Amino acid sequence: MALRAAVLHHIRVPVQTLRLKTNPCAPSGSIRLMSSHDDHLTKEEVVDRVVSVIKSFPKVDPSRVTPEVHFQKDLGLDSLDNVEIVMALEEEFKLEIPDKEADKIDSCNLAIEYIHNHPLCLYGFDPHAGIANNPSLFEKSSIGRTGIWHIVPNDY
Amino acid sequence: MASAAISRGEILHLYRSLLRTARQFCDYNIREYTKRRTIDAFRQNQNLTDSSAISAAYSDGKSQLDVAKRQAIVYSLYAPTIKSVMEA
Repeated sequence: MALRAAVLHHIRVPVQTLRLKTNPCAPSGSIRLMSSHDDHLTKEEVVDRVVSVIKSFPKVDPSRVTPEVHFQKDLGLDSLDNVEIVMALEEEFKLEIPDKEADKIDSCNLAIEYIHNHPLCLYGFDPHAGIANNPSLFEKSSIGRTGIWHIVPNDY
Repeated sequence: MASAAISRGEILHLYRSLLRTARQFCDYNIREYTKRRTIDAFRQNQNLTDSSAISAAYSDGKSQLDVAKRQAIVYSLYAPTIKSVMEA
């Protein structure tokens, strides 16, 4: 509920009262969330999200995190921390990483590779942030394309 | 984490199972408690060298895992409809 209020707060833009007599778009802004063209995350997005997850780990010094960092050698973590990081990555990307694979993920590199090659990484956006805060969705939505926030019905 | 009977892999497997089971709880408080408790308990026993102590701790952990699994199911039967404030 608090999130909904926060999203609505963001969408406080002055209403453009355009009379949409010749409006070609569908009146209910149809948004193709799971478009078949962008099924997969781009490598940069994966790298960004993985690095941000690792930086937000309490035992990690954020300034030392790079996409090539090794958890145990560079960051001085131990194997329990390794497990915790992999769990945090699972939660971020909404994946289930089997134990055998998870044991092998020892560094940022491997994590990025594994996640990028995983077929189920569909989320290229944050489903909880709303349309206005997801640039990739916003541009594709009818709101983003036409710049019209409020569709005022014609009164006949 | 040197031990004769129980391997490092098994201990990590137990750790991971406990954390995964913790995720299945509907109640925010119990979820967080389970996570915290497993992290603290494993850290505390991190430096054990005596193999009997290690196996005692391991079997303790396994029984706790069973308890957690059962409770996750039982709690989900009576899940509260109102979510905790902490989960936006």
